[in-house]
Amino acid sequence: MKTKALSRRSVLLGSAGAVIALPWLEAMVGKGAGAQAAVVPKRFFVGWGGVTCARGEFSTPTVIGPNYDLKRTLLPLGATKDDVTIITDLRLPPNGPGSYGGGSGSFHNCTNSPLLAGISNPNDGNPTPKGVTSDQVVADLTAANSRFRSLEYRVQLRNYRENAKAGTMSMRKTAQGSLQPNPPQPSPMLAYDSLFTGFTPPTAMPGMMRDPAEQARLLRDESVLDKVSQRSLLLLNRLGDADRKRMQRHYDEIRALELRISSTFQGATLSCSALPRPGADPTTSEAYYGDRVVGYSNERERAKLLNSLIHMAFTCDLTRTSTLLMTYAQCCMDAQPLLKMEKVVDLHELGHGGGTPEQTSDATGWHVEVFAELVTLLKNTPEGTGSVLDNTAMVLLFEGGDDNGEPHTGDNMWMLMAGGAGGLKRGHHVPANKKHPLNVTISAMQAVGLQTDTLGEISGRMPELFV
Amino acid sequence: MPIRRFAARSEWRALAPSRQRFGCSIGGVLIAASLLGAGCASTQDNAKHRSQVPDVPTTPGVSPTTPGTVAPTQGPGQPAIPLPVGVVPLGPTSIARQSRAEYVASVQSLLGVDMTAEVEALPRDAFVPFDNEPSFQAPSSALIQGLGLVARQAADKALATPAQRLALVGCTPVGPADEACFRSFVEKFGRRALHRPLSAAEVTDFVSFLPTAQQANDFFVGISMLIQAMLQDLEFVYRTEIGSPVAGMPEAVSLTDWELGARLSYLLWGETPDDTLLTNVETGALGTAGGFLTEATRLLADPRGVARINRFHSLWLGYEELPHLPALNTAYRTETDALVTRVVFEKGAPWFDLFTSPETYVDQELAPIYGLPAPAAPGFSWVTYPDATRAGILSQGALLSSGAKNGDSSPTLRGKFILERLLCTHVAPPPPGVSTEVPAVGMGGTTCKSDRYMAHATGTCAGCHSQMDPIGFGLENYDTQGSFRTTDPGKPECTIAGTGQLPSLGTFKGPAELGQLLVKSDQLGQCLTDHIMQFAVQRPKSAEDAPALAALRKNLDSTQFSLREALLAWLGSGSFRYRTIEPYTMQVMP
Repeated sequence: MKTKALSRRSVLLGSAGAVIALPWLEAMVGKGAGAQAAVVPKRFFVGWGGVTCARGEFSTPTVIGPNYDLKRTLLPLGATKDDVTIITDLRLPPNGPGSYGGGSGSFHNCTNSPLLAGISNPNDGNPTPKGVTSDQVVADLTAANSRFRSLEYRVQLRNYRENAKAGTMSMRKTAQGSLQPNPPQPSPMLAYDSLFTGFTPPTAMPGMMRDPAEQARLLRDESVLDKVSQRSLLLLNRLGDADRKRMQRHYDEIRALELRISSTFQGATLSCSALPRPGADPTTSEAYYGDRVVGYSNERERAKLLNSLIHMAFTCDLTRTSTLLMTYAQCCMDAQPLLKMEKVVDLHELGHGGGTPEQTSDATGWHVEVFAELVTLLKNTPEGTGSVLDNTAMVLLFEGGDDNGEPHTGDNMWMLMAGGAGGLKRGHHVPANKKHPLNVTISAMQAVGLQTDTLGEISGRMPELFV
Repeated sequence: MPIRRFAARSEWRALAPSRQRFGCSIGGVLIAASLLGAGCASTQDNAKHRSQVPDVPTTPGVSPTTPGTVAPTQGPGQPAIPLPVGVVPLGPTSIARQSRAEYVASVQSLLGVDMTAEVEALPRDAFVPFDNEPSFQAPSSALIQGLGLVARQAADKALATPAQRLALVGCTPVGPADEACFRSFVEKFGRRALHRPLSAAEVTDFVSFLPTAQQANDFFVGISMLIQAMLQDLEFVYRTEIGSPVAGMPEAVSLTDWELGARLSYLLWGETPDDTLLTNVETGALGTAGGFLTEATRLLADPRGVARINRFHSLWLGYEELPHLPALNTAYRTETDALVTRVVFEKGAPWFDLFTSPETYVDQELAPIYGLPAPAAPGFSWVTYPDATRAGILSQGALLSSGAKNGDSSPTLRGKFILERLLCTHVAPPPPGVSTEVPAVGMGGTTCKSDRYMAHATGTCAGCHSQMDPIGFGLENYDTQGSFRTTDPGKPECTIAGTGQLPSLGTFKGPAELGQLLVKSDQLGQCLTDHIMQFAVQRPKSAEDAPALAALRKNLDSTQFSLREALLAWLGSGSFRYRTIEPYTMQVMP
């Protein structure tokens, strides 16, 4: 990796009376692994679906152990089933005396925190996790070695109905100790620009030469950003302590982007190549279910694009940790175009009489399909003597379970796990006997190097998930 | 104001069960006592908070010093000017980022292009209930990328045609490297975008884009880069207030006239100052008490000022985003905006008239929904309600839309709305483990809503529900579109009684009577005061706001709650010249 000298750093450190630290700049723009590709990196992925786990008759395999059978919801796994383990009979306990990391009575938007960070939700209906999420715990371990500390993408463009919801599934602690969100990037085009700017694939490929106009635009962007960055620093130095703390991360993020633009990055493996730039993002269409707005922005296509970015980011070792929020909790996305249904209805209402049980399970099945697509991409990418998937740990979580057709419950939950990092077991059906879903996530985290067995209020790995 | 009080406030924040941090101030005591008696947990929390952070007003201008504290002076070496006698500075504030709405308005004003769709690339603002609270504005990688993208798109849009380019730049470049023309635009555009004149060094620095334009053989390549850099500049994205020291108040600064102008413009317009305002800063007019008041009056009278006051109400009262079909949403919004505009601006009437107005503003679509005779002609007109059951804003679809659940009105959510938004009384979330997803299971085998909600009347739920539900039941005759009904939807056997009770204030039937009860209480006026303050200081009120709140309340009282007059009196008091710097905190967005 060739990086411009951090010439401004000396200015920062030399500023009389106002030393501005670069707390996580190095963490945000790591050294890159191109030069040290001898160590095969391990990658971690968390997917989230804001729908219920399909009810058992459509999802839970009859066969326990290897060679499990595929019911309706899992059919999209297809050939990937030999690489995907399903863990059933998980339980997210409700909050209350003696229960930890539970959801709460008010179901929707209250299970994100316990399922992603292991922190119980105070029944406040706020979906933003209340603690550091699993991806960021892993990012703390891996960030120094990759170009991006972590990637956060979101498939569902907006929440369509309650637009004020943030749709954030990744939280980290800053160097200053405060918990802050990593809002996901919903735009495949912006995600692409961020990922591949300044990136050079290891082998010159036909058609990969940049268009001169595009090259000129990049240079101008770099010049503009450089101006913004210089001026920001001058301003920061004029601010008092409280104001400067507020602006510091903004400046750090500008510098991180600037460094990425101005540095080049050599892809790590032979499988690494640059992807073609996606066109403009798919547009939104809104429709009405009763008097309520639902929307669709071709999330099917968005998911494919974002998957391809995660795939190549893992393959090129641009990052080792990624999250994909497929749908918001209590998903208000229009199921009609997604599932080619006859009538407009949102994914949430499907489970409340707006659709048949089969259609409800198909909505969950689309999330399985997105997960399977990424598994396939990683599996088909050679790395060393195996594939990138062999060095990856992936989990897919859903918002809740299903209790005899009543979807607002933490009972009867299931998760998917894929990849072979750290000796994870593949292609099995493992009943969990009411274990917390995070026991699966913690196992996957350990597979990529986590030394402890705790996340938030939840402890314990599941030995049965390892070979 | 001693530093230790900040620490107390932080502690208050840390203890708060949710982001709602209102104590039940002066007027809230009655309801607080009532809820406390009923065992509503959050009010106990509030009581606790109050005892930890007593609402003790400080003496204006008198600022005890705390030995050993380091003053967060932003401009060391500048002479400290004492606070004028009688001026009550606002409570602590933080540097605020423009909300998405403010960004769109500012870019529209600067470049004449509408970026409403493109601004979706920026992370959403937290509506808490206002969208401008700095402690929720955590910068992120997505924000930085989004700002870059939107800036590029704005520049592309603004420079799309030769006519647009020339009109925007204001001079005709003689070639791709016409420095004089470029320099003049840097000065003009920079002054608007950053709401202050650029220094000669800054102008020269921006002119450094010109060689790139020359290289591309296109003057407007340089202009585009300049626009993009300005729209990503921290002084455009954020409203920085550095000021100069105030004698005897180590944590306060006196704003420069330029900063004061920007503060005024963002408060009253929600966008970057216009040329007139900047000229008034330049001439020194804004720096005089009379000039400041003249400018505030001008801004408030402008359509942008009217829209801003309407937005204050729509965010506060939750109708900025309505849940119906677009045409109906627009109609409701038109109706409610008309009422606010009429009361506040056209009549200059007491603000309470919002709750008692016997007329409403409807068209041929809205009138039938309310059971009113449709206006003869298309378009909106004022119609008097035929009887006294409806009156004011609480009868309107915009307000009655709130609190919907499972496709119908929720008496609980409506009650919570009235308590929290109009009486500033915080209601605790349901206890852990209690499901609020589905209607409470019916008692005695009946399915009428009033009976179903009886399940709330006992056990741990009763403490809070006995305060919320009776309010909502008093509005049950009105569905979520504002139509009158006598029975539960789809259940003709379930007759709606439609009577309600407001804790400690009395019983009522329907929105008109509820409005009367609210207006008679002192709490509504205090809650307005609190929300104006929250809008102005961009965070919920805290103990440090007591002096400023008292001053604002005095202005409201002395103008008989003429909102426009009270705001102008408050703005004219000199308070807005001073900034107390808020310690850094960050919260998690909902």
